[in-house]
Amino acid sequence: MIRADNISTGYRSNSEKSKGKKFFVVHSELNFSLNRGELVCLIGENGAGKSTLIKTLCGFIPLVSGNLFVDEKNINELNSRDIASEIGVVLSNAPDLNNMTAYEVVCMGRYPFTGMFGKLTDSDYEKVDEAIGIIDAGKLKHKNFNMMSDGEKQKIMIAKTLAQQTPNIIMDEPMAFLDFPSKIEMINILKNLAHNHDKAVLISTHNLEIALDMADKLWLMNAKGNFIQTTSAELIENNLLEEYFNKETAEWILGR
Amino acid sequence: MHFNFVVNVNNVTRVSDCMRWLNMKRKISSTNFVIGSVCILLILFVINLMMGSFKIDFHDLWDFMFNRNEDLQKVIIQSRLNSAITAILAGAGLAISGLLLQTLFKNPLADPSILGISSGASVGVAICLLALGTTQTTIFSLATFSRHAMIVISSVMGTLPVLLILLLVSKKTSNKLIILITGLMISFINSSLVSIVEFFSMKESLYSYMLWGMGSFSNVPPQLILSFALILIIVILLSLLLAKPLNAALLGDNYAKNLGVNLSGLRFWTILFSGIIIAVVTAYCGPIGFIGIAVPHIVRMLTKTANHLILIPACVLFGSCFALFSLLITRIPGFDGALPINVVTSLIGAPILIKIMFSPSMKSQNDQS
Repeated sequence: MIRADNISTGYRSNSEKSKGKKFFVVHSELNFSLNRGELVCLIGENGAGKSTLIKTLCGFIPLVSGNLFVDEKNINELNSRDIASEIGVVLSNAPDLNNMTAYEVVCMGRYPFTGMFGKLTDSDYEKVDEAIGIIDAGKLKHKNFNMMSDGEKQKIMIAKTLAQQTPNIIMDEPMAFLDFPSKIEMINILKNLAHNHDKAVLISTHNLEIALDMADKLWLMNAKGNFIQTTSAELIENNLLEEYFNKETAEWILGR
Repeated sequence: MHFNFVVNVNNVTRVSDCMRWLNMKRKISSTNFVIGSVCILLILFVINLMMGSFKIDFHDLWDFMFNRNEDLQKVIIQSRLNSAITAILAGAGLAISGLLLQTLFKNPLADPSILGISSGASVGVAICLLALGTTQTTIFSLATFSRHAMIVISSVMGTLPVLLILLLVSKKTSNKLIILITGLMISFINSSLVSIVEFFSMKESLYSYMLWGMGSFSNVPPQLILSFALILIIVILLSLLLAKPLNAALLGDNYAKNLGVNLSGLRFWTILFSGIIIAVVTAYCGPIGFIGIAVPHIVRMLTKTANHLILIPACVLFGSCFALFSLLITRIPGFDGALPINVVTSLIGAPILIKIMFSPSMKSQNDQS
């Protein structure tokens, strides 16, 4: 579980916008919690600050202010290895890996738990097999990673996170480069992870219709610095889409 | 009895067991590789001792090794033994540093000479020669220990700034082309610097510098070969400790960070280890090209793995073979050791590299960069 207490997100900047300050703040005073067993979709227009929030939660860019708690422990007090066993990350771009099978990529997920030379033990292999079993990628195991499709690569990267055995999984636009059937397969896998494997899953996405349909919770954000934690039903009831996107989008979505 | 049998079948068909079996298969193929390259290494080593303008047959070699007979041949074998050992160490070192740099910069074309790192060492050595002055034809003959130390240290001092610049550039951009062009520009700047130093140098220093620049495996004096070997072996062994984080670094910076890799630490140690290797080898053998880039690619192609725990030892073995083979070519009757080592490594390495660039396993990388 991840809990944010009045956090501000932003990035280091030397541009005029930041007016001499070290950070250009995108969102300030955000409060939310990401709970186990929930699939949360983060939606918003381009430039709304989704990626900045995701990167902050993953620890890729520093927190501007506020406190972030992972399992009620302040993230600043955790070392990189602790964080590696708490938060698993899947990025929108799959890495470029030659001479590596999908199985070896999933094995990488055991990195925080292996010794000096990274040798996997029998129990490590068991966990890797289990991870591959959960996403049903047994057939892909011996395929060369670079020979796989984008959807298959993304599935393998999720399996890597599962082998990492983190309670929290954060994904930056996992469906960005996938065709429609793969998107559906992906969101079903994620829902299964949240509901049947007790993971806290946060994804950022531009696929509004899928997010509205499948997410347990929605996080909406816009470039004006607004952020709201809601559900699909509430969102439609209060007509929040118009506020966070535009009238046309809201009408199109509601018209369906 | 029957029940037992069923359990066994279940165990065998379990996924993890299959995988372990597959892993075994891979291990066998890498042991094959090790046995093969060790054999090639030994054969090349022996031929290297035998061949040259003064031919020594196997019987005499045997005599030298085990009966310790004292005659003229001993001197010749001793000097050949010296350059063969230097070649083994230099080849292994350059191949390792090429591998480390390729992973660190995520660039299949990274290599000590292409990224301008050995040109940095050249500047260091040239300045050192200018400062010390020389009356000898080669920079190392009749030299004192302090002189050797100064040449090696100035080579290290020339190497590290180049590596740091490359590191800064690679942090600013992930574009492989920009990193390569930066390396190329550094080479140009360094060769200008060397020209300036040459302008102020004496004729003798100039000549010895020129000879050094052609590359040679016979510059390490016999009394220093042990320390030369010790430095390289220690650094190569230490680089094995980087195998695990380097494997994770293949996934890219963000994924590696998420797995708990200390990226700045990894960069520091990789730069330091490869810098020391390149500086020491270049100080004694001159700027030798193509071993650092060709060997890791050949090894990847042969072992079909990206695991550095396998790649590093494989590069040691294959790099040594490559260097010994090049040394052998310079001894071909007719050339009689007059052929500079750099000529040979380029002639062998460049075509191999072009061939590898077009191989299917490289294709996806080329398309992306």
